[in-house]
Amino acid sequence: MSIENLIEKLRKGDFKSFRILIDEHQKKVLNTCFRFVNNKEDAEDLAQEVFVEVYKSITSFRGESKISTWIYRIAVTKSLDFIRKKKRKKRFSILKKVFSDDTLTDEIADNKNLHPDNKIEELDRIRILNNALESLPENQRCAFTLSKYDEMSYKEIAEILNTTVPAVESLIHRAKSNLKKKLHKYYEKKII
Amino acid sequence: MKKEEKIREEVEKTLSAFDKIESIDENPFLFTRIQSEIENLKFNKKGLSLRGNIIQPVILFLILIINIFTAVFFLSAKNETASTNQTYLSAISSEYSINHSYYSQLNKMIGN
Repeated sequence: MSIENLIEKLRKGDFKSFRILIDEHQKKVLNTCFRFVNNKEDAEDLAQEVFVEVYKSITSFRGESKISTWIYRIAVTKSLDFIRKKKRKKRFSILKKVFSDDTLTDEIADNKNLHPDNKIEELDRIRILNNALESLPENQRCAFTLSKYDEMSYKEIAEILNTTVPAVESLIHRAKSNLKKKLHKYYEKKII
Repeated sequence: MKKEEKIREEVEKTLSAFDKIESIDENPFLFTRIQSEIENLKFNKKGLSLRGNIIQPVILFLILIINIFTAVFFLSAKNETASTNQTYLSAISSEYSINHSYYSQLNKMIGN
């Protein structure tokens, strides 16, 4: 089935075509959301929201970009909204913060029983990396995450973020340099 | 110097953890979840539009009734006031034996 045909059927509310679309993009949408939220359950909820949004607003899709680009744009927007909401919630949960300094700490504690030592070290490094990524400006984080994890081309990222290719290059370059600085600072304090 | 080297080494090791981050597998139940949510949305929308279809005409009808009642009440009250004024004037004019022209002037002043 051609993509035009698929979109046409989707506009008519055809669930079979919708299933084809979901099967084709589910993994990438799931993982895009997962890179942003770092939690499988949240990523699945977000992927669900993304596809419901796709179904609801397929009539407004004008075909100016690829349908995949449009879907990933929705996924990025939903993920960022989720992070913003979570940050807002976090500000009010001071008590929770007293008991657990990091949301990932519990996950690591749970994993300690399941993984050998080298796996624990790896998880710890991933946590440090995610914390550093979270502290980056939103646009740098988006560009870097999409390029690093999802292996998207700069052109695709530019389309998703509604910007130009040189801007994406610059964002990724700044993100890398900021990440290095932040990690350097972190280990400077840690290593005596 | 040794510390700086150690820091750089740790930074590089941590950055290389990017490649070790596992991806998550597809959820076989995701489509069913999405389908049921869309059905729910459709059902809620239908419910809302049904409610709208019933409530809107009822509210419109009530507003119309209130308007008609107000208009009828206002008009009858005005007529009653006018006839009462006329009766008072006639009573006063006969009481004080006021002639017809003075009575008309008085009537004009009042606005009847």
